[in-house]
Amino acid sequence: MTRRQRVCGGLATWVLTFGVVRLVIAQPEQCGTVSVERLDHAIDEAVGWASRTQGPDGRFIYRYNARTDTDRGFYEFVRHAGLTMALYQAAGAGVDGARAIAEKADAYARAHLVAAGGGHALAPVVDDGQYDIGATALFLNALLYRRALGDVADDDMLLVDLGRFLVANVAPSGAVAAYWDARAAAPITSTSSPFYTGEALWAIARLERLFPGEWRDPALRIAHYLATTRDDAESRWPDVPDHWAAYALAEMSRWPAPSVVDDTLVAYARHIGALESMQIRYESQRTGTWFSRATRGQTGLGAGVGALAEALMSLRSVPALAGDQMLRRRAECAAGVLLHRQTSPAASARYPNPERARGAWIRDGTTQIDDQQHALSALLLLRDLEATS
Amino acid sequence: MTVWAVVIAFFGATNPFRRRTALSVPRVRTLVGGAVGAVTSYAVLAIVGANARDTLDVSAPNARIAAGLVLVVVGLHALATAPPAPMPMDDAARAWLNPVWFPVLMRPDLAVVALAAYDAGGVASVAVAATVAFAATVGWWNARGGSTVTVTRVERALGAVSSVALVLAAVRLLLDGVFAL
Repeated sequence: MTRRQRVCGGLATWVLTFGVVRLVIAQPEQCGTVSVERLDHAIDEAVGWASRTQGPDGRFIYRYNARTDTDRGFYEFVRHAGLTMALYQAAGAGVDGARAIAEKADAYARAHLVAAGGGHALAPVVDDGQYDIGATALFLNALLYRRALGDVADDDMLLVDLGRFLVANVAPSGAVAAYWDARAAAPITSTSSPFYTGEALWAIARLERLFPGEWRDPALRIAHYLATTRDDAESRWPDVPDHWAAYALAEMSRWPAPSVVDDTLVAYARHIGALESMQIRYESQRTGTWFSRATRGQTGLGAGVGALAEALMSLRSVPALAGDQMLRRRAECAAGVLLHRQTSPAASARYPNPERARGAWIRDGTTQIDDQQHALSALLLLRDLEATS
Repeated sequence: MTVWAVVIAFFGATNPFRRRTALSVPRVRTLVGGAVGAVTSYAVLAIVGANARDTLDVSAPNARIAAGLVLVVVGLHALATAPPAPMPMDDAARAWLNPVWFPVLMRPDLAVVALAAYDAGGVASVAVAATVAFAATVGWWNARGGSTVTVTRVERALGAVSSVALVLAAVRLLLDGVFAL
């Protein structure tokens, strides 16, 4: 082998290695830029979407095909309550118009409240006797944000009643049934959901801060169940990157001293943070091009990216993680991805009904109300951080 | 990424026990010259590593994932193949440059590690790791005397052990990148 051959062979190895690394392994993480102005605009657009797609009865378009201007024609309360909650969050942040939309959605939900489990639950739109725990949990969270607005009629008994229904679904282990059997008046203990447990925990943890005492034990039971048992007991693999648990851990970190966020919960918070960080580092490499789809898959849903940012932002309230700038950088990256992927007024013009597309997070022509719910909540959290730092 | 991970990565990928056969140079001074050049080069890569990653929009954890994957391939390749063939030199005076510095010691897999090592002490850890790895390479080359069957077997066994250690360290590096904040 001559010197020229050696050098050329060596250079070829470098080019091949770095080429494969760049093209396949370490693609650019495209996080964009985040500013208060851009966040404000995106928040206004998302609230505007909710306004434009809300019907006279308070319901929203559920799963909307922007290419054909059609709705799936299905409705359920988990995501309705979720978007209602995000709108109350927006109202709390002073976003014009959010309050009125939320109140209308709130009124629709209240018409479906029923007595159950020693309290009140949100029954399904078509009452089949099985109540989603997540719907009641998110509705309770929505009403807690509403209460924080400060000028609302006294809902405290309803808050407690909704909380008591949730607690009725908590097993001694801390597991939370996904459904309540109205006919048997008992939780369906064989059911579980990757998200309802965290949703219930968050609501109960917030009640404990508001009305201390009754909620502490169930909240701690659920939290430790999530931290130590859930993924194995419910055969969830990979582990659930539970953004609702992140909200709950942030809330429990605000409970009066002494702190209940022990080493186990801190380790769990860090675990959630790692899972969410991994996902946004991957998601931000997706661009929607054919090459990106071939090597990274299709872009994530607005709901998915929003949930990542919600979790990463919430975990910053856990004291042990508060100083970690990586959480903030990853959350900003998720927000940047959301800003980039929101349907702009100009982009909405290519759809048959631009008013229903504008402000939404549309993937493959379709958007669902939780895309706007999670994205809106995430952007509000980021907006709060960016404005105060 | 820890300093130990960088050291094991450099040692395992350089693999003094496999590398000896490729270094058909007459004097130890030639090897030392190439090794010093390589340590300096990797240190420079470590210095520019953070800026390079930022410019390329690659986060530190994803850089570790890339380094881990590349090193897994390198380690498995080393386990599955015979030691590299000798690289005869054309010019004894410049043999420290070619083949010692490039392509034997300046390797793209280690360059990826150097670029990813910013969070593990950066230039200091890379300089230490490269020095340890290349000192071992020079030392083994210099100490290795005859070519008896037994000595050759021992050398191959040590080479295999180094490659296994590299694969294990690479997997650890990979997981560290995946589960980083």
